[in-house]
Amino acid sequence: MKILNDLSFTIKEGSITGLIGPNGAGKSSFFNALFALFPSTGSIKLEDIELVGKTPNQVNHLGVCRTFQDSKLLPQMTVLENLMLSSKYSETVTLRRVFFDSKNLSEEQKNEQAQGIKLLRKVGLEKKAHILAGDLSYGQSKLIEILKLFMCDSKLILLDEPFSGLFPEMIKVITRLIYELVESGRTIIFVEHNMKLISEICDHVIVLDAGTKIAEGTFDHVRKIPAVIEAYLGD
Amino acid sequence: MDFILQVLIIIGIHSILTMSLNYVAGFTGLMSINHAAFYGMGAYATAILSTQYDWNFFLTIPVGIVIAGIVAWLVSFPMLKMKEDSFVLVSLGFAIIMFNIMQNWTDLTKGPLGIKGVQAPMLGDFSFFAKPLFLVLVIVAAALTYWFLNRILKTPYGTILKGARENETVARVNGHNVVSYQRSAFVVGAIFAAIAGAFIASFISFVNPKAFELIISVYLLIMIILGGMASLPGSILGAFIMLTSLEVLRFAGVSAEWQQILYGFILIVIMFFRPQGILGKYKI
Amino acid sequence: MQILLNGIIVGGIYALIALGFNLIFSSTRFFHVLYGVLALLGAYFTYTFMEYGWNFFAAIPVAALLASLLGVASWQFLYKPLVDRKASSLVLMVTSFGALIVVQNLIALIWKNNTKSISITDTIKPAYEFLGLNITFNQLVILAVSIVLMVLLELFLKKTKYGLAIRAIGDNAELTTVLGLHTNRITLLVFFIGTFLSAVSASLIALEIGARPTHGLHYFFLKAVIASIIGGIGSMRGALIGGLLLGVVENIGIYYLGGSWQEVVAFSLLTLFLLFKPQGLVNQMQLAK
Repeated sequence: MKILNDLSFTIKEGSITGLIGPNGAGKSSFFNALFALFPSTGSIKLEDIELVGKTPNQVNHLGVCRTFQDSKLLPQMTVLENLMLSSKYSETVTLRRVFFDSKNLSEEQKNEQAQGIKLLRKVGLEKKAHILAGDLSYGQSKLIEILKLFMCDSKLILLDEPFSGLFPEMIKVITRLIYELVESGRTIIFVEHNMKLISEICDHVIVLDAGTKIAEGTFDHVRKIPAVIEAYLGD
Repeated sequence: MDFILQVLIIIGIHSILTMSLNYVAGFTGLMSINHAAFYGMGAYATAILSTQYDWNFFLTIPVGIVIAGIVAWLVSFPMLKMKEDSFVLVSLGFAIIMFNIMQNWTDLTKGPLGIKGVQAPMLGDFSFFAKPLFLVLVIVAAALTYWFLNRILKTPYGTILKGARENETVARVNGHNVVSYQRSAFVVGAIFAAIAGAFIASFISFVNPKAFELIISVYLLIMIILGGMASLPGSILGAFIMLTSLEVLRFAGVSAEWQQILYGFILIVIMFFRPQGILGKYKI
Repeated sequence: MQILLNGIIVGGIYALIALGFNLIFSSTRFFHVLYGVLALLGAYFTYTFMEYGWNFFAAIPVAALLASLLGVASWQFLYKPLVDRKASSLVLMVTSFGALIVVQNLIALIWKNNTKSISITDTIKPAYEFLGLNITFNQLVILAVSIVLMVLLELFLKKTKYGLAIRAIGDNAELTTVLGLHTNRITLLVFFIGTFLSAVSASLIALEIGARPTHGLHYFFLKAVIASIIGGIGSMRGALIGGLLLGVVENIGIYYLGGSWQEVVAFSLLTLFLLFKPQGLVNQMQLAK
């Protein structure tokens, strides 16, 4: 069953792009396909590098990070451990280093953890560092999901409905964090249903319907296109 | 006194088994019920090399380790392709196949008759035959096991193992090659099980397939579920509780069947009321 | 050819056991390990009734009925409380294992550990010859009853309201729950039918292999799982094909390698399928990643 058809668009580095479309348009599927979370045929290219045929962790190594719609924090691990999991550093810890390089390792580990705590401090959650992630509130876990992106050293970030179910104060915090991510040189694509946020935050918008791109451009441009209006009316 | 030393030795050997199984099942999330197969490989390596070729006990240990490690590595390829529940099934299959090999490859293992006369460990002229000395050896081995596994688990490597256990997709998306971490955990678990096997072979001085059948793996799993999943102290506790209760029940004249009924019942009760076990940090 | 015939007759039993197992699995989606031991209990009940002088053909249905009630009870009192608490399928499997240990040992306590044998008549009947092949009286009975049961099951699944609901659940458990089709009553029914089929099969095969406490796990459950995986877990067609194939391959294996390697042959077949065709021959559920 074909879920996505001939999607092709160019995204400017350092920009924030919104991916919108009615339910079932294939927005989350696009993220999943990019990350090779299901097998795809055809071709998905990131800066000329073919992604089809790669494994999810390989895609991550090419510089892509993502969040999920429903918070996928690991409930039986601590908040800090969840942050550490996204850190590029954790991959460098081989078994050989655990036993033969332990001095350096414990130094580095302390630094990484300090970084993690600094991040938590940014949003006032440093006290929650050693709490099990399963005990966080919904809003807090969405925050931590975004913080993970700071630990992951990536060029491209995919956010799947980062604002869903949040109160306005939380939305402001997350918006601030997104801008911070962009300022540090990352490119962001995010899926959202809240049109106000899309119009405020995004430089560029792509509209999907039934697995195809039906429009592209600034939000003001796109909202006037008849095909787009029709796609949403049918929703 | 002699009897207490004996029980402590058995608990010590089983602690190595439970800690290594917890490393695989509790920390990494691979519900393996084939741990006894690697236990048996270590035991048979020691038994065969020391009785037929006169090898020193301490030299047989690396051989057992290498054999268990290689088999674990090979078997991990098909096994790690399976989803959670199916993994248990393949693990079951592997355990049964290994048992059958121990039973039927009589040229190598002497089958159900077993191998007798495995010597006590010796260093030059010094023998560890005496129970207090053997216990010291076992405690050292168990302590080393604890230290080794704990070292790993405290580092980001351990965090990744736990992450793979919690949600493979999330771990992958964060850049980790989950299968290779799982494979490494499975192999490390097998290696320590083989070490335990060497000790049991020498202590009982007799090995036969029945000591490594499926139910033994199930007992080990019950021990860590009871003592605490994802807890090294919990592994020791679980071994302690089950093995001392086994002795107490045997003393009280309770038959093997009623003992097993008790353990089955304990398993059910734990699943209902405390799935992480006594000291556990992980609920299945 | 004789091997083929022997294989098909045993395979028919494997198919029935796998059918019952698949019925339950497609409805509940966890490995009900206790299944094999309850089937074995059916065989033991048959044995006991016959010890009291009952006729084989009278004992089986009553024995199977008793076993089925226990199967239903296992859902209602053991599994359902956990499912209601959103327990994972792993927790259910471990619980099932605990129950298996308890029941298997109760069997050993009540009936002792030695193999009990069942025979239909007191005299030894000669084997029949048919088209150059030998078939014993026992085998004939097994074949006949197997065919009857399979036809009845097929009719039930295709023609009755409950049968259609059960098939729908097998195809899409979540949807049928949402639609209100996947009721507890249906699950109870599924446990009843599944256990009944397995208990009758166990009694039949006991004619050949007798009954021992370890058969629950090492024989009935394993055959069910292997046949199901070969055929395709969750598929009735698959259970049939898987069972027959398993029976035939096993018999070929026994012929060339000897009886002691039987388990290895069965498990090697399982491993091959899990490696190369984990969804089975009839392509149902995904067991591999």
